Amino acid sequence: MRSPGMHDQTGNDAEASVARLVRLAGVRPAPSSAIEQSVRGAVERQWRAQTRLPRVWRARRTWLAAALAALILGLAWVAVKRAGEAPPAIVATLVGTRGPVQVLPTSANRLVRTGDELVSGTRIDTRSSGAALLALGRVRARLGPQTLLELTDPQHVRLLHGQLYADSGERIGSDRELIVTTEFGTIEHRGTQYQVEVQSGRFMYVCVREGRAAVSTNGHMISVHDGEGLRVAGPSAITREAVRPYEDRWRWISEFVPEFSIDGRPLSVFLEWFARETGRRLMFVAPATRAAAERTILSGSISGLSPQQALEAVLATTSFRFDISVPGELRISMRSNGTVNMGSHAAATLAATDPS
Amino acid sequence: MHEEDRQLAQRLLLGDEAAFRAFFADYFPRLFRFVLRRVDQDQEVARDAVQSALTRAVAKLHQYRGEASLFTWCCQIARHELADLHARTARERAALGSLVMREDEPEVRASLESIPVDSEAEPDAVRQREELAAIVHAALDYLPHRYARVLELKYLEDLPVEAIAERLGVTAIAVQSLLARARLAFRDACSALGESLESTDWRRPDTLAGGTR
Repeated sequence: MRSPGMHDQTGNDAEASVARLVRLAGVRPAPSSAIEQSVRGAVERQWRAQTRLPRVWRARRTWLAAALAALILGLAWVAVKRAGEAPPAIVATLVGTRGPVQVLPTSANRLVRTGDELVSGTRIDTRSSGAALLALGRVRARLGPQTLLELTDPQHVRLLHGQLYADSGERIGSDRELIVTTEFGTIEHRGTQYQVEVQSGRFMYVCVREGRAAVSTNGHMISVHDGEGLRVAGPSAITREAVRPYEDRWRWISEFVPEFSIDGRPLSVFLEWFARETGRRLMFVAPATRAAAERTILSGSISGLSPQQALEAVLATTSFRFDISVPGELRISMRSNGTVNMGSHAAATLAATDPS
Repeated sequence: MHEEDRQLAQRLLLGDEAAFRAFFADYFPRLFRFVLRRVDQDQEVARDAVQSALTRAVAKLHQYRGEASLFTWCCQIARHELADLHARTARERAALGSLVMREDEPEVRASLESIPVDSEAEPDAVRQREELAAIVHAALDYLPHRYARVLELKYLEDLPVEAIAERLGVTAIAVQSLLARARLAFRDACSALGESLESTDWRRPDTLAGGTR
């Protein structure tokens, strides 16, 4: 059914109709500049890669040859100019290491120290049994054994082999924070905790513990949400699976945790840290227990302890007890008799007070 | 044959920087709105889908022959991306919801006819106006960029023909000609969008919330 249509109208009526419709609809909504920049970057990368195809080379051989010559001259000029310039910008800080970790080439192959500042182009090799913790902007990245990582800038790294775990702290929205490039694709960090594993020539595995990661591979953009793992072994070999936040694949992370200071902080904050590090859900048996944990102020240090060792040591100095027998949960309750057990780890350096 | 679009594709394939800037500036916002309507206004999902669609479009550009407009061709790729997205996870399926099922028909007319505007069943004037706006915006997005631009300059920015001519770098006569063609194309597009538009008494400003300028 059609009412008397626009085509039946005379010129002035028709123009008035068009004008009225356009005005009623108003300005077309535009995407935000953040979204535009994000999409543009990805599309432009693809476009530039596309324009490097041999077909294009044949079509513009003369032009490209001239451009290449100019580029070589330009690079030579830049190289000469850079010889007298300041060193490249610092893009990361080495927060911690365990075992043999080598940084190439800026430290002349020496073993590195905590606190070293790393520049663009640096490669970090954790060798057979090392591990490293980096600060890349606001993201903390942990590297497992047998990992080779190249730093591009604070937002870009290239994982050539091994395991990388990225954590940006508490949920902070969807801004892009770290882009990990691998031979199988690119991972954009849009959440807080995720892990990338690359076995060169075989597969890439991305799993998300909290938040979200966006994986670009073979022209596809795939969202990986918390509780999911994505395996990419080739253009047509992409599989997705469920991943629990506390299962064994995350275990290596707990063996190499960033320093966490408990001194002067409430017990509840420490418990939240433990839950986050181990992928567990923090549960108090009663609201009063939570309130008591928020009032209890800790002192001392858990330096050098694993999360579980720290939990045992800290709670031994308090009136609280924990239960981690249920997978994925950390249950906190009060001791019935109010007694305090001193644990076996660093108890002498720890104390807790309840101001109330 | 869409010769102008085919030439743009050729320039992109040859690595023409200006062509890429023009392509992205023109196609990204239109494609974003196209996708946004199909993902229940979820900006994050829309971003991923558009990024994936445009990346794939660029990768497959050598296959574009100009049989359809470049925008329609990009929309078709975006539809495939949305279908993939829809199939991949139950969570995303829920987020995409019925809009994907309702709107993702192969033909533009069929897709936009599925937006229901029935003044008796849906007396809410605000909602009616939003639906009308969605249809008009979709029509503008499907028009060639210069058509949509000249209509917006004329009727949204209320610029006289001379000012539009200056803005576009053409003569006033050329603007009048362009406006005439743009109005025709717009009316054709709106007609193609289905009866939903015509069943709305859009000629009476008092029937729509907010009135007119």
